[in-house]
Amino acid sequence: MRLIQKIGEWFDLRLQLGTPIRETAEHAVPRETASWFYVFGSAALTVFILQLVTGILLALIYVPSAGDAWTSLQTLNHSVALGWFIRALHGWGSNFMLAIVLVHMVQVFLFGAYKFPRELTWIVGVFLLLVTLGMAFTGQVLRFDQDAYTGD
Amino acid sequence: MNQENRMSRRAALVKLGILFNGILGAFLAVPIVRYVLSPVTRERKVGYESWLSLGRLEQFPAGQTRLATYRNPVVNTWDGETDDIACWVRNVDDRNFQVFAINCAHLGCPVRWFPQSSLFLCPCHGGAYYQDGSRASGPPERGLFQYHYKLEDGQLFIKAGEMPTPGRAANQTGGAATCA
Repeated sequence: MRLIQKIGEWFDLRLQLGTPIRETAEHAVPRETASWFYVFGSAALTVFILQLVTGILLALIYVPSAGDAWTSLQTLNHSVALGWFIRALHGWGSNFMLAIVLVHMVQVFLFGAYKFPRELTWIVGVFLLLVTLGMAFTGQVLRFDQDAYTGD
Repeated sequence: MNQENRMSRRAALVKLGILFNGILGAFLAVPIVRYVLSPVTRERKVGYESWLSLGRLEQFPAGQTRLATYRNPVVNTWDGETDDIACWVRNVDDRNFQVFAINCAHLGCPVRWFPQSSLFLCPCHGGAYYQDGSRASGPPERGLFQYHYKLEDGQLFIKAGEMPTPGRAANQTGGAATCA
């Protein structure tokens, strides 16, 4: 435990991240805002980070060409340790991200959280929704299977 | 236990939160580390990517396409005849060969060679391929899949064990119209 603490302190002395994180975590908020309705934003961020990491891992193996894409997915599924699992995480993560982002948008709308002074947050959010939809689509067609060919 | 040593509710929940996050983190981190280390640690199945003989070269006359079968190197004892895998061997000029997976590139039905028309035809949805395996018409989006092959000691060997899509697809038609 002491070693972990020492390593943590070594990093914190250089990164200076501990204090701002602690201050954010301990920032007092009204009691009624401590609600599960506010988790969707950070949930979307978590799934996004998951997509980022698994996406980079898959890109190490995947071949982006019409002739080799499918074969490279076979390699991922059958020849790479837990490649099928990383693919599944990425595929399901994509669905979950869309769902969470949409739920998040509904929550923000119903709570009126798009009003002054947060209009810009809403506008950026709409832009991010479009980007998310775009990435979900391009991710799906990367498989180059019949499904991707017909674009549904 | 006196008042100072008792853990506060907040501290207990923080620790519980860290524990749950740690479990979830490990659930993600372990597969990721295994995935990244896959080239070092992966187990090769017996027979995977092994070279198998399809028979002597005399069985495959030049300019002809013949059916050949081989025994799947990845087997279970109870598999029976399902381990016998068929493929089409095309002897181009005694030095160059093409060995096609028998499965149609559409949905995997076994294609059949028709020397009268020099076409591979699929009985399921009408997929057709030229003699070099490239797509002629029908629902397949690519040519037949080909095995890697080598000629040794008067025999034809293929690299097997990678079913159902061994190697690369046969030549694409290059976007040219495939039917009138």
